Amino acid sequence: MTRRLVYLIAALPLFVSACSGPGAYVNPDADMGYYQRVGVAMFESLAEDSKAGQKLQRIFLTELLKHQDFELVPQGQFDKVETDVRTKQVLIWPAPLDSTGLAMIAQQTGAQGIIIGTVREFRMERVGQEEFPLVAFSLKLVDAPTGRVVWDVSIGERGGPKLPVFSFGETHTLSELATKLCRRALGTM
Amino acid sequence: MNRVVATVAVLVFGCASAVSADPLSLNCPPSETIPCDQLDNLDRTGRAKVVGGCGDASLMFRDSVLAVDSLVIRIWTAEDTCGESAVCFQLFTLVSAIPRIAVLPLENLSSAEEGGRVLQRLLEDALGRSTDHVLISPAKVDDAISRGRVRQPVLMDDDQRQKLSETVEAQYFLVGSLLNYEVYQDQYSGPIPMISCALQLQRAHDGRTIWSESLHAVGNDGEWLFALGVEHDITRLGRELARKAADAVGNALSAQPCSVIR
Repeated sequence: MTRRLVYLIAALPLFVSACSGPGAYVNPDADMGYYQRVGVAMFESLAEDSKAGQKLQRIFLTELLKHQDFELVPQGQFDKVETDVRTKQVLIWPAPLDSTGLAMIAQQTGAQGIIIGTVREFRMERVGQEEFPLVAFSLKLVDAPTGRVVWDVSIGERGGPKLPVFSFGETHTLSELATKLCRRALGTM
Repeated sequence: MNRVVATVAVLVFGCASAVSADPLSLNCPPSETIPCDQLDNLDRTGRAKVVGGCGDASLMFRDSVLAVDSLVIRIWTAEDTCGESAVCFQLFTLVSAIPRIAVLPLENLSSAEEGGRVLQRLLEDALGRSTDHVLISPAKVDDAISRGRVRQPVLMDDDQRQKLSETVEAQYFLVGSLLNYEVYQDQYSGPIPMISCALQLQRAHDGRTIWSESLHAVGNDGEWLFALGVEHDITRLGRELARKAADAVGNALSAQPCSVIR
């Protein structure tokens, strides 16, 4: 009985770490309520899948729309303006936008804040006999006129089982895991 | 609401007492229940009739939305050349007109070349089965897309969306991205299809998204014992996913208040 209790206590940190939330930074000087209208810039992909940035951006947009905390600049309008600004600044994507570029986008789209994303992992990973998705990314909300970071979150997870032996809490697809993580990331705002 | 009626009633009595012989008065058409898109159709809703007064009376109305979204009060006002006026009210209960919806080509981010077109057709099939909305003919949509040179419908700008909505006469667009459309081999269960997509239902006139969802389906979602219940056919899996999307779109449309009172 005592031994079982010791195992349980030993396994507790693993369980807690599996359920822990993402580490988010919220600028203490920022007034989050001010950011009513935001735009979402193209996501950069550092993953093997060159389309991972686009895929994650589409999933994030879906979750952001469901979140209903912001008025979103229509994605078509935002993409067009971002492309124009990059062309004017001779800034080939995925080179990061500077504060002048962000301010120009803000002026043309009416966005008060701009969300920038970077995907680090977006692939299937073999674990024993099975493959599970691995997704990791970071998101930033920057103040559009100044380029200052308002909110920053980094999050990543493998979709394998949360407990050994039991297939409890598994996620089998990349997009399903990405959806869960986007939702979790937005929860830190 | 009660306060407004009381105030206007005093005005009518005031007019009546000022013009004794043939006082100006207004007869309103009956209150009724009409489809949203018929509110501005006066041939359908009727016009107030001016009775009495002196000279030619001007007649005008203004609509006011009541606290409940689907109720509109039309306030008719007549004024004659002697400066006398009269008011009457007409109440409308609005019911949604049958919405017209177009499924636009999906952005294909998957490795399957034809995956986007397959899912688009499956979505059209699923949406076309409902009588709660009108599905705009896929041929008409394809033609308008190519004539309007819309390369990526999910990223249309305002001008492209306006033109497209006028050409196909759509009130809503279903747009989205196909994220994954593939079949992998499982050593125990055989071929397992996987489909993921992100979809949005947008209002055609302003591009506002009224519904968005990321949908995922895996062939072994329904497996309950030793590969029993596994779906091996990717098209059948896609059809099931499209049906779920169509149900959700139908629910989102039925929850929409009338667009005429936006």
